[in-house]
Amino acid sequence: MDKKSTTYRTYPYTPLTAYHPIFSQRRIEQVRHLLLAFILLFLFWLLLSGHYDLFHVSIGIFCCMLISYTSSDFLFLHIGADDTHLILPRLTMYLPWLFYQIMLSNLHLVKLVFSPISRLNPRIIPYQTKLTNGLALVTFANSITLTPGTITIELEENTFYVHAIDSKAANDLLTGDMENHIEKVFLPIAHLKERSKTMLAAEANNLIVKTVIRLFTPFIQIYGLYVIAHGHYSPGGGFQGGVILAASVILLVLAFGLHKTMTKFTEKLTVMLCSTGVLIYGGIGLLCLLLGGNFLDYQKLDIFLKVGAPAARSLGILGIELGIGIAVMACMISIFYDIATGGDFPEQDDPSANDVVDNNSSGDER
Amino acid sequence: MDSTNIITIVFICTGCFLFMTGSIGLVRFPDFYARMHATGKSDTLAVFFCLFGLAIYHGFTIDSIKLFLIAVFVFIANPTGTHSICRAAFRCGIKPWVGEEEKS
Amino acid sequence: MMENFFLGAALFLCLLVLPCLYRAIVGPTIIDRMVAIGAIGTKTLVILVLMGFLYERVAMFIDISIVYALLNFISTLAAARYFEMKGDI
Repeated sequence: MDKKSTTYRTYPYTPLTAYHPIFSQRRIEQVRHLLLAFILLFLFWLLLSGHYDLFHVSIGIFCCMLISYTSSDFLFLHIGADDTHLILPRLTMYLPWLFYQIMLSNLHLVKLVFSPISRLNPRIIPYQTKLTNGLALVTFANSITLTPGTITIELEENTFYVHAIDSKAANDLLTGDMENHIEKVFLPIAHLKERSKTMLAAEANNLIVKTVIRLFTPFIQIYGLYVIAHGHYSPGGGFQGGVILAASVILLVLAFGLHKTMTKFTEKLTVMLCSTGVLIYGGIGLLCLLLGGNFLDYQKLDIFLKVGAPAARSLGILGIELGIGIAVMACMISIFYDIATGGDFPEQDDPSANDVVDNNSSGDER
Repeated sequence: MDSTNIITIVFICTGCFLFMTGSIGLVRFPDFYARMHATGKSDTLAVFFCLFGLAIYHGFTIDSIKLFLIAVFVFIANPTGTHSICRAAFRCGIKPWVGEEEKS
Repeated sequence: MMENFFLGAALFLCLLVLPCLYRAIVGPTIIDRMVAIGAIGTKTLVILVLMGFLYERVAMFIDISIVYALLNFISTLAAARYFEMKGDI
């Protein structure tokens, strides 16, 4: 930004931050992240939803706004929104090479599978890497795992511990060919070394799983909302969508530990959402009863909505699905919390060995 | 029998073959890590081939883009799962198998 | 013609579940069993899509298989996390 202002602005230029503290650099970045996340999620929604009328698109816009508000910064932790357009084309250039590599080494694996066991020569090799960006490290680790013959077992600081199945696979990795390709992909943000180093230190263990889950969570949530909203066309509905939404929260627990998730998604919120869902369901049902129909007799809702009986029925079902979805999500999360904490109040710091997830908070923000 | 059908058949057969190598490796290989090699990745490529073949058969619609989306999901999720379960095994102290001559 | 081919492919994949099941039953450690179940899940994902083509309800079965892929991923991660915390198989 500074560069642009020096090149073509001749008149005295007051930066936006001088007007009001609300325009601080961090705030501007947040808004950009929000917008870009919204665009990405909305594209994903359009791809999922086969219905492009005003009603469904407006539901989609609402859902995407909700999700991008709650989890937009999940997407842009290691690369900022202003670097994304630099990285993506390079990444697409890298993928065909990766695919070729995967094919070659799959052929090698096929040969190994049909040859005697003594041909195997497994070993664990350490591999020093010069990559510093978190996303680059994750791309590298997953590329290593994808090319058969090598699996990333551990990632400490900047050393990969790789399990190679025979000497050919190990030598392929040790030539450093793949690392050079990935370094080229992430070249434009190599200057952000300091920032990414602090970020890496914050999540020393579990970097790969955390990063992948961060990338997935908003999309999974959008998918859950899509399943709820299209319940009357597709096999989904309130129950399934609610479970998918709950699954996204469980994924967050798996990556970031129970305590961190429970500070964001508290038990109080769970109980409130649970009762809200039941209230929506029962409220719509009773409303139909009051209007002179049966329980959940959606056609009677037409008196309020004035859209004709079939549309009223469709809207009524949508409302019911929404209520069920919220209730099911809250219930599943609540059950999960109860099982994971063993029924104890989660504040106490007593991570017993048998907990599925315990408090190994590693000091990152989320 | 037009060309798209032939392409579909070739892709799906390749996918099935890779699935088969993965399964055979899962049974034959001597230790946990080697079995991970067999399933974790040949399965990933096999899913990609199968779904790609089906997408070609289906033509260019929303559904085939969704098929492609599943493939992308599997391509990111599968190695992550493989890595995490291998790491768990490593931290639990499962020693890698290092060849027959050293074992005896 | 293509229907028969899809049916054959789906049956072949069902047959391939058997070796994985063998590993899931015999497998010396629990983590071997987990891997075998994961492999079965991956095959099931493809079988579901093939079923969608057989029943000519592709959109529906694709939605199901997306959820299946998601659940497979979550179960693997959860098991890995559990054993890592336990520190022992």
